[in-house]
Amino acid sequence: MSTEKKPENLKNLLESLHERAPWPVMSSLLRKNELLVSRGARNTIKKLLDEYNHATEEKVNELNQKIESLFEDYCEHLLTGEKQVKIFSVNSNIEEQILKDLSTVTVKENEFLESYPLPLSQEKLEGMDSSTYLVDIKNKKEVMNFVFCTSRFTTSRVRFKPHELDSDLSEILSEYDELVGIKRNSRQFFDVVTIRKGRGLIEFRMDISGGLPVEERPGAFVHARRCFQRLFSDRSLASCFSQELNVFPLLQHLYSDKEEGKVVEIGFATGTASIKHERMRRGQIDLRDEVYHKAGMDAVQRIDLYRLAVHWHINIQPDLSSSPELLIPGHVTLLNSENEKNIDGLEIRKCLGLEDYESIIEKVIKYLKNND
Amino acid sequence: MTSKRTLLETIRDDWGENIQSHICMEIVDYIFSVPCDQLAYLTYGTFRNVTQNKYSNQELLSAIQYLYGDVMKVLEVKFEYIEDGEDYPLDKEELAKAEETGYLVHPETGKEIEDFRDKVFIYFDAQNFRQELFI
Repeated sequence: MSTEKKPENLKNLLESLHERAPWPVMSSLLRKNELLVSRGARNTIKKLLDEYNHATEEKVNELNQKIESLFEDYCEHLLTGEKQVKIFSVNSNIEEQILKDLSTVTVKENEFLESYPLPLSQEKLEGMDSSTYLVDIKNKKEVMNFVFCTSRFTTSRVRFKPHELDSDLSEILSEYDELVGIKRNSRQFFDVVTIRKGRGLIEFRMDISGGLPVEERPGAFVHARRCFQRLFSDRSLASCFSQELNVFPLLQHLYSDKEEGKVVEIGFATGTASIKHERMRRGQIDLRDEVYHKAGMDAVQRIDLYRLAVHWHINIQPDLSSSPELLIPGHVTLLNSENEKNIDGLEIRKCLGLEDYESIIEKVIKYLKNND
Repeated sequence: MTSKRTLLETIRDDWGENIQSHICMEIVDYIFSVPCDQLAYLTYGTFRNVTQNKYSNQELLSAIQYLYGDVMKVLEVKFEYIEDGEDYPLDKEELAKAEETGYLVHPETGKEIEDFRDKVFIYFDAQNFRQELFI
């Protein structure tokens, strides 16, 4: 292990992690790697850099090992953290042809490779268009992952006081206590396409870290799918995965199986013409066990679910746990549709890494298969 | 460990004929009248309803303060941060640090928030008190 100090690398890694992972996930990953966690992300990054910059040679060696391990966790998080997931099924013959066709694909030179797996600097992103590039192929025994990078605009609300503006504007706006501005930012997204070998499943994991607005997501998915399809040399294969799995049946399976995590949000309609959207406060009990919900369930014959969020508590080490979440984000109008009720995607968030993500996706696959 | 009777006697001894004596008794009666699992999240609004809006804010607040004070400990004070309809539990230690440093760490983003005060809300939990109480 190197005793060379590379504070810039550590700074980039920590800032990228902060940008992409919710704070409970980032602090858990730091604790998992026995790195210090201070009050808030900014303080933590500052103290870790101070510790690193003032470390003795022996200590640098130890820290470099921990940082390398954190870097591996960051790379795993890129594949599994904060994703909107759409799953397509293909038959085994087509899957074989797809894998064969894609086996010759290579990553071509592009700007994102300059820093991948870390994101480009904000300055570089600002000057880029929204083209998507393949940046990585990870061909493993059970899965083949294609990682794409793109720069998309996101918006954020910025609050400021009139007195913070220059004097002319400040005077004109003096009757306002607070102003809210919409700021447009360029942000790098990491979308992943996974082929589950021998299982006939292709998974699109759209990056929603940093809160990609819901209305932007369909466009982002169409764009990512087009980029993936362009990789095929046999263009006829590109249209073979149009059969997207409908995750609607998951709602009832997950709700009915009391062993499955903790239900924290439910949307449903009743035969008595009411529409209910119930949500438990964080840290409280399973919604299915809540007194008001149970009494309501006892009073009606059935409920028709259209939305559900579940989270699981997974112990990683004696003093470290994770709380991955699954959201099936339906809308009440689904229930009124004449066609088969279809929800074409789900959200998997707050995964610490591959183990969390796989535990959730395997549940999804299990229940959807049982439904066939 | 105490009983409801000794609790009501203490309230009477401390407040005498003051209006707060009635408010505290009505709240304590309520706490004993509902199942324990319905005492996890009580707000000022809950207590206003329980006492049928009969008392002034000042009277109600002083009675509630007495009930969560070190002597009585009927109510456990808890805090949450609410932003854009999302709620996050806040521990007292973080809130004390926020008061000391002038910023709160956002539970979800880890970012520092300076204007946090109007997004921090208080509520009360009486479950532990009920569970431990000898009726």
